[in-house]
Amino acid sequence: MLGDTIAAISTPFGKGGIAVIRVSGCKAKEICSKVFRPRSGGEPVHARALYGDILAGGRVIDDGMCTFFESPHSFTGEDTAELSCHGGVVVTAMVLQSVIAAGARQAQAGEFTRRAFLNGKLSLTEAEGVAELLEAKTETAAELSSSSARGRLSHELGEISAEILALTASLFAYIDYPDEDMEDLSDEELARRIDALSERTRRLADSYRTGKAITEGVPAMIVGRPNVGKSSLFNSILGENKAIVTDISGTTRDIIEYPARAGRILLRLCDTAGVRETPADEIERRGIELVRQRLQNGEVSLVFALFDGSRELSEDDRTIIRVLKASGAEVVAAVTKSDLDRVLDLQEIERAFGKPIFISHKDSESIGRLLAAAERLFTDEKLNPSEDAFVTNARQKGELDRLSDLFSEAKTALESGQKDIMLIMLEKALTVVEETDGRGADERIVNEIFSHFCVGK
Amino acid sequence: MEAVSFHAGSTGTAVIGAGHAGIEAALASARMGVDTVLFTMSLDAVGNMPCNPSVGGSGKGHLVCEIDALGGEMGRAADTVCLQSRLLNMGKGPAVHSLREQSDRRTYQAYMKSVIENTPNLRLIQAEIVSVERNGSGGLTVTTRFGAQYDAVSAVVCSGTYLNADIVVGDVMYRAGPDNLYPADYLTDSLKKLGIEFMRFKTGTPPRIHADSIDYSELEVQKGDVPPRPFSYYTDREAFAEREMLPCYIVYTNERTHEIIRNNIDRSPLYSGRIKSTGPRYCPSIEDKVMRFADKKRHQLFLEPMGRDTKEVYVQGLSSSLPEDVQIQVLHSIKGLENARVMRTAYAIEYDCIDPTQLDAGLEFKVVPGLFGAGQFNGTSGYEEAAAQGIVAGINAALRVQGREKMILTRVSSYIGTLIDDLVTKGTNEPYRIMTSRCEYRLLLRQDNADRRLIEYGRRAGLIDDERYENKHKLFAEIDGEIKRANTTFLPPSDELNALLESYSSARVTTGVRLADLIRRPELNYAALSPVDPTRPDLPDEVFERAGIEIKYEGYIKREENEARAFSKLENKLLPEDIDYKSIKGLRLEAGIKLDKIRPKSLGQASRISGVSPADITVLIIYLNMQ
Repeated sequence: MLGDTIAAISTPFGKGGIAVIRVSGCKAKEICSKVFRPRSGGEPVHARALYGDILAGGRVIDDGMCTFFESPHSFTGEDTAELSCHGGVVVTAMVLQSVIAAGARQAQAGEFTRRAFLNGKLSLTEAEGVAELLEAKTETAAELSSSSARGRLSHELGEISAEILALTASLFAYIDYPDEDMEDLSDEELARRIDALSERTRRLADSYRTGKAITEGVPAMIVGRPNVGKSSLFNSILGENKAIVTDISGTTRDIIEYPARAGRILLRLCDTAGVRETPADEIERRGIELVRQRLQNGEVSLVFALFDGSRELSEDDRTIIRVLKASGAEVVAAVTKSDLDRVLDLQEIERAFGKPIFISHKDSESIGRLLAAAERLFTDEKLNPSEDAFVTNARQKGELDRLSDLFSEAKTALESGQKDIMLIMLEKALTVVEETDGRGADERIVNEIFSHFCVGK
Repeated sequence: MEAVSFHAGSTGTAVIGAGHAGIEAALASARMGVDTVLFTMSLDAVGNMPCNPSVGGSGKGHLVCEIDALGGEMGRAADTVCLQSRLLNMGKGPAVHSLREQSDRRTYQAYMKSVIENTPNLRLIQAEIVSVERNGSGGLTVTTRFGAQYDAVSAVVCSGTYLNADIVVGDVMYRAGPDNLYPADYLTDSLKKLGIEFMRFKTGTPPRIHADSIDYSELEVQKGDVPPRPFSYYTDREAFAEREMLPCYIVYTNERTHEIIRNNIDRSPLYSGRIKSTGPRYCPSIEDKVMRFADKKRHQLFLEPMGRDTKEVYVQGLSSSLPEDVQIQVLHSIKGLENARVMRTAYAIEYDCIDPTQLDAGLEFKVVPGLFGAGQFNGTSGYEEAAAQGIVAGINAALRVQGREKMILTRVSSYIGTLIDDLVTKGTNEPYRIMTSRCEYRLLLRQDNADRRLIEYGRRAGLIDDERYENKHKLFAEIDGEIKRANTTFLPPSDELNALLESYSSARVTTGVRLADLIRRPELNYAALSPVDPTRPDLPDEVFERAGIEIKYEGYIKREENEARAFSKLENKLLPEDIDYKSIKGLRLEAGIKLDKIRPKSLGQASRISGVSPADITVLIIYLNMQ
């Protein structure tokens, strides 16, 4: 619908050095002020590119440019903001998620163009651009539908949708045929069924964390003071994979990521200055600074923090603990050189990260335990990737979150005795879950009524 | 046997059929000052209710209120002859409140006939129309069975279930319209010559039995509301409330009934294959209900009086086309009806109707300018649906005569607009009934605000006189004023207020609170708060009722209004009439064919056609822009 504010990544996802996230609608300016802080301070000015920090939940995740276009002088004719951030899958997705969290909705295919047209703004060149985008969308769709996981997800969504349909159909049957000899659904039963839907949806939304870890991978790095054994661990984890180098380049920071399996999930292990063994303390300190930055930018979700078991805890170790604690990243603490006599006092480490794992590069089982701990942090043990439905992209996650909101609104309406509102929320939920454009669910509700209820004069 | 034709006169609007659609069409046209002729097969069947003796019901009540708001007659007629009035869905929220009235059938007909006879510019003529043809002057010529030809600028076909109608009872099938009236045997063929395509639908009606043959002693009584509510602006509420109302009764089928039906199912024309046309799912025959819902132990039936001075009783829910002997067995198996005497036998009726996608949103045929369709002829079912289309078709027929622009009611304006949009955009493969679930903007489209939503349309057409217009605007101002007052009145946290809140199990207040915020609490309402609201003005109950709904639902209403605005934006993007959908690159074949058939007026309408995807709409947008 045209009333709300939409957002989308408007450059090819995961390709190119710079990605642009476009936001359009009456809330574009407000959203901008939540996710972008110009270094020069002040307010966004029409058609002027400002340099500054891009934020997610108040934290800086990248630096980039923001250009604001005031209605009607924009592509869509609405207030529009264009955020350019560093390209690459993770950062770009994070920026989009931050924009959505600030109040935008993920745009549908062709939606910017449609708005542009409706506001009388579309030119031929731009129209051609959209045609390309539409093709790209189909390719992705084809790719997704081929996977069996996608099949399970749509099956699960299908069941949720069928339950909403059944619920709305019975409610409508009583409304459209108030004189029929049918037992109306009790408020208790309604509440129970809406709760069940809510729970089911939430579980599916939660699977995103696992789903993402499996399909996109978890950006991870190894941190520790010099000679703690980073290099050995790096090599042990990568094993034969080391030869395969994925260059998610264009982030201008030359992060090289090495893919590695950790059980079911994929690790994308960064090779950075902070990881490479360097003799000089000064360089090492710069390394910690780099780690700090990367953590702040949200480019790393998992850190293996290494501590030397044969030495006492140093100031550097304490700095690392502090930085990691503040970062919000998941941390697996490990004590190296477990084959030597232990001098290290574990108290501070345990307080920060729980029980550490003792590893030795000579003991491959200890590396396995370390990776298993990492896997546990990013997966829900109750979820089985070969049997359960998974959400693997941000759009689906966004839709599920919206569904959850609608269910809680339906529940509130029910509790307030506003059944007409409750119905409207459930109908909206139906259109969300079925990814239909507009509100075309009515005919299905009508069909459902007549296939399950004996009504009519 | 064709009669010699002769020129009988000229008129602005010719309306064919004086059922519920035709009446509203003819009255609207004539009241707009346009010379109008209303043809009926029988002067004794004007405004006939061949099925249930009632007006309104879920969703249908909305239609009646909207017809009234536009300046139509149905609500007024129903109020005048009302036998019982009930507001349905009281516990479900104001969006789905719907009024239903039992009607005195004969008095309803007499009332309507009298109104028609006394309306200036309107002639009521008993004649069967056998042809409609284009004439040389850009209008249409309608010809009666006796050869009388009338030239008209516009014509509205409201032929109900009369076109090539067959009545079916068991093995017996014969040509007849409803209630054994003459069928119209010629009009279908004439309209086909104009390029109009037809479908065949089926509907049915239950038996009528003699009141004295019913054993009421153990039957459940269903009484109307006290006080009863009327439909119409013109009805005096106080006088209406004092009217004596009649009860209905409830009976149930049982296992024995179902066994009789199952044992005789091979004698049902529906199951033997004699009836092939499509019947409405929402109005199934009793044999359908028993066969399709085999696990249901009983079906509920209503005994409804047909009028104050008749003993005929309508058995709602027992529609059937089983042979008469089986119908009698079925009736006698029901508790309370053991000795029931049948006065009219239930029957099914098959008839010709059009595929409504041939119409535009003003109910005019796209291929025959000046020709309009309304009611069951358009593939709908129900008196209210018919009347709703009738008033729109009548207004547009008259506007055409006056050389003025069409009146189009959109989905966001009304149930009527939703009904028409469904018909002309999606078509229907069974007799169409309005349902609340079909109306996505139902929070905005309530019965209580029908006047406000539609009065300007009625006024522009010329159907709302100055007095009514001013009265209504005064009422709207009072409602707005009251909403404003509730939002700006602060009640201090007194013991009295808290005592009142506690008596409704509502949370106490410790600081000043806005009246509107209290009204919004689920457990409170306007009436409850009256003791603590000293500045409340002396206004009619209706003002508080309506202000209360607007206040309680404010947040939701605002959201829906935003969506409605977005909807209107797409609705206002008009598509050129000469667009060649089949030549548009990138449009999927199915979408191209559908668009070409429906020829939508706007992008909004295009997006609602089944088989047209959002991607197709984007392609369409791009194409339009390249032109």
